[in-house]
Amino acid sequence: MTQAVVNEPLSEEELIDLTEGNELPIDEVDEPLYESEKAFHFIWNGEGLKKEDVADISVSGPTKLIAVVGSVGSGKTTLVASLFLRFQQGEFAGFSFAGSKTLVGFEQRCFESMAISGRNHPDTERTSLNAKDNFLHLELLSTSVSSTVQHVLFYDVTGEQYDDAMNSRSAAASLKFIANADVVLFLVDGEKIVNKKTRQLEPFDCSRLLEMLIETNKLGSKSNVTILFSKSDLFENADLEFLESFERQISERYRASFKSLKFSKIAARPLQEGVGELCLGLDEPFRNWIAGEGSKCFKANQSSLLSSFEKHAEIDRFIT
Amino acid sequence: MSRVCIAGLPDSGKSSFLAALAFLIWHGQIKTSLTRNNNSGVDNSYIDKLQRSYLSFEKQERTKLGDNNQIVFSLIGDGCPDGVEISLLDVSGEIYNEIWTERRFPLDLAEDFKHSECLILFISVKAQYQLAAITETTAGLQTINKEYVEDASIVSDEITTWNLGLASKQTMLVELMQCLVSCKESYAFSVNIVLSAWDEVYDKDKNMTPKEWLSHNLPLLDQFLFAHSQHLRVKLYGVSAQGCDLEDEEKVDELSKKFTSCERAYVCPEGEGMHHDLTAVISSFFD
Repeated sequence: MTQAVVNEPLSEEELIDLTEGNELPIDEVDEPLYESEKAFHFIWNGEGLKKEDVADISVSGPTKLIAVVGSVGSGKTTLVASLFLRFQQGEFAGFSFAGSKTLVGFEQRCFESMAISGRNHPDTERTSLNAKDNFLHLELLSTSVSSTVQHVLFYDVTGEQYDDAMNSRSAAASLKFIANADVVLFLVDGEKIVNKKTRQLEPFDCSRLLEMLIETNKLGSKSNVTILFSKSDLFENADLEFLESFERQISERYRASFKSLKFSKIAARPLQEGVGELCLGLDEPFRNWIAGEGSKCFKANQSSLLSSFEKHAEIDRFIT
Repeated sequence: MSRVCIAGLPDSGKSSFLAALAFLIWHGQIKTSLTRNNNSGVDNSYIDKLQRSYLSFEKQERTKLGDNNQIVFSLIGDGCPDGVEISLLDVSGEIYNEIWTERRFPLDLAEDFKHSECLILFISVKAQYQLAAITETTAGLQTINKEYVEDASIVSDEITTWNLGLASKQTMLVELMQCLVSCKESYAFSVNIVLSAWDEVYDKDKNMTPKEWLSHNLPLLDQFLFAHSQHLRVKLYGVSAQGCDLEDEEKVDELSKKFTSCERAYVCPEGEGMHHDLTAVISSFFD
C-alpha cells in the first residue's frame, strides 16, 4: 500500500508509478495537516483501459479481445453498452457478471438511452476521436463451466476510422488491433438496409472494408469474423430477402478467406417502445464469441516476474 | 482487537444500525449471541448521541464528511468464548460515494479495511438502484427520474449531460466492492450484507428473503458476489433497525409503547426466521 500526500492531482506518470507499487521515499511523506492534504488511495479511472492496463488484465486469466468494426452510426457502441445493460438485468447467454474495470465507461455510454438523460428517444454518445482509452472490460463467469472466469475486452473506436479505411490503405493498415482480435464483429447498419436509398450501399461498403482489411493483412485465415446486421427490429420481409442475398454474396466471396465467417441479425437496443428486451438475437453469437477457442492469456501468474518493460513488450505483441 | 469494517452509500442505515446495536448490547433486555464482556461504562459521546436519537424515534443525522467515529464493543459469545473487541468506524457515506465520483478512497480508511477481518455492507431497500430506460417509460418518466436523483435541480426538463453522479447506484455499489476487494492483500474475507429498512419489504411480504430481494433489485451486484463466492464469504440479512418508517406516526406510536425497546429492531437472516438479535450480524463472523 502506498501513501501519497495530495496537494494537487497527480500526473498520469505519477499515478502509474504509484499503482505499480513504487513507494515514495519516507522523507517525502508528510503528516496531513488539513482536509485538502489528506492522503488518498486512488483507484482506476474506470472510463476505459489503455494498452498498458490491458497487460494486467490479460495476465490474470483467459482474455478474449473483440474488435467491433463498423461505420458511423452502425451500432458499435450501442452493442457494447447494451451488453452491459443486459448484465445489469441478470445473467446472459450462459454467463454472469464478475466485474469490470471500466464501469464508468459503460455507464457513460448507456446514459443517453436512459430516461434520466431527458431524451425522448434513446441514443448513444458518439465515440470521441480523442479517446485514448479504447478498451472496455467485462469479467464474466460461465454458469455452465464452473469457476471459469473469462475477461473480455471490447475495442471500441470511432466509425470515422473505418470509413477512412474503406478508401485508404494506410488508414486500413493503422487498424492493427484487428489482426490480433480473437473475434471481429462487423456491424452493418440495419437502418440503412431498410432505407431504400441507402440499402444498396451497405453491401458495397461492407465489401470495400473487408477487401481493404484483407489486403493490409488485418484480416486473414486466422480471423473469426461475425457480420452483424444491427437494428433488426426494423426489418420487414422485403428487408429479410435482401439480407439473404447480401449474406450469400459476402459468404461466397469471403468465406474461404477467414477461419470462420458467421452472420446474425441483432437488435441490441430495440427502438420501439414496449419491445423491452435488450440484446435481441445476441444470445447465441455472444456465447460463441466468449466460449469459442482462442483466449489469450500470456504468462499467467508470472506478472510479478515481468518487468514493466517486458509487460509492455508482451502487450504490444498482443494487440498491435 | 477484531476490526469490522462497515461501508455503504449515504443513507444506507449504518448509523441507525449502530445505534440499535449499541442499545441492544448495553441494555441486555433480550438474549443475544454476543453480550458485553465487562461492565465498564462507555465514555463515548458519539454512541450516546446515536442511542438518544434512536430512542427518540428521530432520523439519524447523516454522518458528516470528515467525521471518523470509532466505536469499540467488548463482547463475548459462543463463537468467541475468550471475548473479542470489535472496532467499527462510522464514517460518512459520502466517502464511499467518492469512490465512484472522485475515484479515490481515504488512505487511512483503506488501511483500516486492509487489516479488518470482515466487512458489513449496508444497502437500503428504500433506494432506487437501477435507471429506467427511455423505452420502458411513458410520459411520467421525468417525474420518476427526478425522484431518483436526490438533488432534483440536477434534472430538468431539458436534455441532461452526463456526469458521474447520474450513474446507476447499482453500478456504484459494484465499484465500491471492487475497490474494497482491491485493498485486501488476502483476497478471502467475510462480507455480511445488511439490507436496511427491511420493514419496507417485510411489512408487504414476509416471505421475501434477502437473497430474492438482492437478485431482483441488484442483479449486477448479486452476480458479482456469486462470481467471487470462492473468496468472499457472503451472508445476507434483512435488518430493520428503526422497526418502522419513522414518518408513519401510527407505527411509531405503537413501537414507543413497547417496554422492551430492544424488540423494536429485528433481523431476517437469509434462510432463517425473523428475530431481534442484531448481534447475529457480527457474531456470524466468528462462527
